[in-house]
Amino acid sequence: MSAGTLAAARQSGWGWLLPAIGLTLLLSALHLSTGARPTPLPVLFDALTAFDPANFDQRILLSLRLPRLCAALLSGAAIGVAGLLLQSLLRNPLAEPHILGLNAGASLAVVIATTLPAALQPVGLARPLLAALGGALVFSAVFALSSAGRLGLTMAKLTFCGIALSALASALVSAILILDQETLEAVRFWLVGDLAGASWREVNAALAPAALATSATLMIAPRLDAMALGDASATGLGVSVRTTRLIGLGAAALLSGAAVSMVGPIGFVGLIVPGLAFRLAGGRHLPALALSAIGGATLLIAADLMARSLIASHEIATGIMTALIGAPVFLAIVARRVK
Amino acid sequence: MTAGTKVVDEAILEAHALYAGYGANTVLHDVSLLVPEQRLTVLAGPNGSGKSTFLSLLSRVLKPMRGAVLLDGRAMATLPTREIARKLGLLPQAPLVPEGISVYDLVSRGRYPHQGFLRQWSDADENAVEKALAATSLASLAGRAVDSLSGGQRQRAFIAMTLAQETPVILLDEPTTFLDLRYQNEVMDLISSLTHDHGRTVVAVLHDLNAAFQYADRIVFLKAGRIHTVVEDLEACTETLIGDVFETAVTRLTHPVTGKPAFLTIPSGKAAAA
Repeated sequence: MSAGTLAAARQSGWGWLLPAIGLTLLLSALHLSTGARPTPLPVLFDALTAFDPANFDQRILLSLRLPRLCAALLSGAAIGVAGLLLQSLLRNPLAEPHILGLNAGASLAVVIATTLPAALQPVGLARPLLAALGGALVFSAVFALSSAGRLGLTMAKLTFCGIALSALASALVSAILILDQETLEAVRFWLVGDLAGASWREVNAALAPAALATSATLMIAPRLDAMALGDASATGLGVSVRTTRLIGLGAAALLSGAAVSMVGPIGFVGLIVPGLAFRLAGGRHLPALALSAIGGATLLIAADLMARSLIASHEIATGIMTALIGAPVFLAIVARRVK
Repeated sequence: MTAGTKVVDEAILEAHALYAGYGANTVLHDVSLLVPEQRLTVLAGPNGSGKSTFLSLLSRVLKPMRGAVLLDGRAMATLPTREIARKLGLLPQAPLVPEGISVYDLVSRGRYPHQGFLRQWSDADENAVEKALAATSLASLAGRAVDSLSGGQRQRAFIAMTLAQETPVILLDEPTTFLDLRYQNEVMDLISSLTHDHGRTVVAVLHDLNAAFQYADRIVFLKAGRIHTVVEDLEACTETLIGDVFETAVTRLTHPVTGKPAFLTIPSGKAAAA
């Protein structure tokens, strides 16, 4: 084997990155120009280079559509990366924020906070952090429950506990909302996962936690490659397995908290994208993380585009679209992988 | 019964009065051993004798309840895990194969302890991987997916990963279990070449007693969580010892080609006749 082929073997995994970025850019442009009032692309160009506050199209673009696109990109990427972290650290192809209770926990935390008096409402950075904390708490309960018992942690137990506690958290959310009409009005759309309400305020608040979690994830990427060989192998290679798992799960909670605070609980994006990304990346985590981020963003934009254009003059919530695509994928993975 | 330890001049790995267990259940009692450099030491014994647990302690995968493991004279519990990984490699019993990764990628993961946070892939890393691929005759398969290999090739790929780690000590947990006879041979030849051609110190848990006698430099027999006997002179090993360790009747033969002892079990109905 020549040095050239070996070098190629080491570089492999990055080949899908450029096409994926291209697709994201294309869909982003389409996303910006789609809406009740279609906007031609030159307007976008003008708005970015020579902004004219008097131009109505440009104002729609910058104050409504651009934040919606940024929220979709950021939360899609966050969900994609969180899904890959969960799947790798738990060695479970069904692991994703929605199924393991992170989304339901985050929603519950945000909804509880909404019922508090105005002075105690979480603002700015507090909102994504509160969502992350809620998600982390419910996930910890899922993890503890499914680790209990003689068999220890199994793929099926983790998944069932996640689904059960998600249902419990959602029931609590419903109970709060039935008692509190005002809160219901405020969060009704957000709760099914909706990008329509996204604004710069939420995007800005979510940036810092997402950036922190991303740096932590990049730092542990080489350790994830070692841990893919099993805990004992990773220990033999000098990886502190427990610390790495703690950092990775913490990052996953921050990422899904950031996403929920922006666009509400969006399911299945974190399930579909990471498995595919990992395979396209040849089983290496650094390219797989990049592909998961880009793939998550792309899928969420695509879902949002469909949500807005499937039924003319009506918007379906984005979370409903991702569930329509994601539920069959979930069932396919269950049929193939869970014994 | 001989004592569990024997003083060796160059012990690179030392176990001192180790106790280990899971929960309230103690699996190992007062196990001490000196592992000599550049030898193939085999840990053998019946199921549940504690040989794999002992290897887990030596490789720090399991923490001892009492006692200490010394690597190059320093207590392993006080050393950073990454520093240990530059001196001691481990091939566990059933490592996982990530979907779709290539042989080259798997072997290059052995370089993890030599890479820093910002340190990129170096010539030293590349050399180590190429040498490991050559030593395991896998260079021509470097681009293949690990999950498409035969059992023997796959095990060789994992041994290559451990080789690329470039540690003076290598621990192997039942490296030939689940392999066909031919692949068992292939893997055992490779393991013995690690000590004799590459100067590594190897400790391996082996289930196959006869493979142990053909390849090992010394055999440590464990029974019921204690060291039963350390056999330095394999030729002198008797039927009585093996019969006692495994609690079954055996007869001793001499391998016609290698001249080393081999043991065959005797069906219980025929035991009296023997």
